[in-house]
Amino acid sequence: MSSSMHNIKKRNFTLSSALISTLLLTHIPHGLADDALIEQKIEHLEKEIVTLKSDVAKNNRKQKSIQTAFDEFKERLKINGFMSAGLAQSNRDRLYDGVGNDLTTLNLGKMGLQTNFRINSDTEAVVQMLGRARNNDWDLGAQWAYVSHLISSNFNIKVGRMRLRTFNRSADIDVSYAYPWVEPPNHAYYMLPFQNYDGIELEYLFESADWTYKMALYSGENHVTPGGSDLNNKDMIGYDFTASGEDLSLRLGVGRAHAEFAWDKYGIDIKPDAWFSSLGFNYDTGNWFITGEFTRRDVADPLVSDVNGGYLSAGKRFEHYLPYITVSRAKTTDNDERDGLLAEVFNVQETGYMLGVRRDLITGVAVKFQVEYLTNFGGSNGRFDTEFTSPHIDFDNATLWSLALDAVF
Amino acid sequence: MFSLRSFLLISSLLLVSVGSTALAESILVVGHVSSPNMDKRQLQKIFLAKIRDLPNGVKAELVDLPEGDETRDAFYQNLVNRDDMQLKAYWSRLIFTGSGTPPKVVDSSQEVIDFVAENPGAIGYVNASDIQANASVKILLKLE
Repeated sequence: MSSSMHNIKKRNFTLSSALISTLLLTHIPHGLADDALIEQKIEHLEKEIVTLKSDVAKNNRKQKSIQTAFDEFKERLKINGFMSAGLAQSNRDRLYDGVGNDLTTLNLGKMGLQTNFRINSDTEAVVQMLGRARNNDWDLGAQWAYVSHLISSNFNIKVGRMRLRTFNRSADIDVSYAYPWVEPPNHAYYMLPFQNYDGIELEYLFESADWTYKMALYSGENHVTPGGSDLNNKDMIGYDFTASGEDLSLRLGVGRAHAEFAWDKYGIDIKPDAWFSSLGFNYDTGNWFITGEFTRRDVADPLVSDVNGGYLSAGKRFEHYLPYITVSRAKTTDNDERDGLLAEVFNVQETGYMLGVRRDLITGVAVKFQVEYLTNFGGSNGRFDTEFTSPHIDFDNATLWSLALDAVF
Repeated sequence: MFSLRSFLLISSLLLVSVGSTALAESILVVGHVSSPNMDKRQLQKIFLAKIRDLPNGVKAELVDLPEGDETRDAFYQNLVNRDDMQLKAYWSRLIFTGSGTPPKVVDSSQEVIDFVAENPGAIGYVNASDIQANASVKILLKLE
C-alpha cells in the first residue's frame, strides 16, 4: 500500500471513532440516577438467579424421588412368563386328545404371563393370564388372580382365583418347562378336566428333624361350559399334604365337589358328588429320578365314570440330556353302570409305554421328544374319540409321538 | 532363550494358578452376625424355599450371584446337586404356582457381603478369595 493510502485509512479511522464515541456519549445515560438503575437491574437479575437455582435444586430433588419411587416400584413388580409350542402325530386317524395321523401343531401351544406385585413384605397380588391353543383357535383366560398374605411365617392365605392342586402336578400342569415330559402322563390327569376355582386357600409349612411338611386346605367353586354344557362345581373342598426329605417327597391330595351338570342338548341334568384323590412320590437325586402317582375319580352318577389312573416314570441325566421312561394306565371301574353308546364313550382302559428325552438347550429353554405306545384297551376305545358313525375302534394298539419346545422367561 | 529365571517365573505362575483354583473351590456361606449357625441340611431347606425362616425365627432373605457365575454354580452343585437349568425348572414350578420367589440377585461377592451386613435375615454365598471381612457378617458354613 502507498503511504498516502495508509494516511487516508488512518484519518478515516480517527474520524469514524470520533463519530462513534460522540454517538455513544450522547446515547448512554450518565449520572448518579442512571447508576442506580443499573444497580437495580443487577439486583433483580441476582434475585432471579437465586430463584432459578432453587428451582433447579427442587427439580433435581423431584427427579431423584421419582427415580427412587420407580426403582422401588420395579422392586415390587415382577413379571414372568412361560410358553410351549409343539407338534404331535399318531399312526391312527381316529383322534386322541386332538391328535390324529395328520401332523397337529396347535394343541400343545400355550403362553402364560404373570405379574407379581408385592404390596408389602407379607402381602402380594398375583395375576396369571394363560392363552391356550385349542382346536385351531386361541383361548385366553385368567388362571390365577389372587391376593396372598403371610399371616405368620408358616401360615399363608390366598384369596381369589387359583388353580386346583388336587393331583401332584395339577397346579403347574401348564408350565411344561417345570417337568421332564411333554405333559404329565395323561392317563392319570385326564380325569380332572377343570383347572381353576374361585375361593380361598390356607397353607401351612412346618419342619421336623430333617424333613419339611406342607399342608393345604382350600375351598371354592367353579363354573365351566365344556362344549355347550353347563358344569357348576359348588362347595369344592380340598386338602393336600406333602412331606419332603432331601431327595424324596411324598404327597397325598383329596378333593370333593358338589357337581351340577346340565346339558340341554342331551337332556342331562344331574347333581352328583365328585371325589378326586391322589397319592404320589418323587425321588430325585439330581442325577436321576423316579416318580409315581396313583389318581382316582369317583362320581356318584353312571354318566361320569369312576376312574383309576397312575404312572411310574424314571430318568437319568447325561450332561444336558434327560432320557426318561414312563408306564401309565387308566381304567374305569364302574363299567357295569353303562351300556350302549355311553359305554363306548365312557368306559376306558388303556396302558401307555413311553420313551422320551428332554434336552435343556440354554437355561430357560428345553426341547422334548417322546414316543408313546398305547395298548391293552380291554375291549374299550381307550382314550380315543368315539365316532358316532363307527363307535368302536378297529385297532388294538397305536403309536403317538410328540415334540415340544418349552421355555420360561 | 530358556533360563533359570524364566523357569522360576513359569513355575511360580503355575503354582499361583493352581493355588487360586483351590481357593475358588472354597465357597463360604455367610449370614448376618446375629444369625444362628446352620448345617447343610438346614441351608438346603432354606435355599429351596421349603421353609421361610432361619432357626431363630427371622425371615430368611436370600441372595444369589448371577446365573452362570462360577461361584453360584459351585454353591448349588455342592449344596443340592443341581445345576442352573435344574434350578430354573424347580423355581418355575414355585413361581407359577405362587409358592415362592427366587433369591434376590447381586453382581459380586462383595455386594453379597454388603447386603448380608445390612440384613439380619440375609444369607448368601461368596468365593473366599473375593471379599473383604466385615464385622457384621459371619461364616455359617464352608463348602469344599
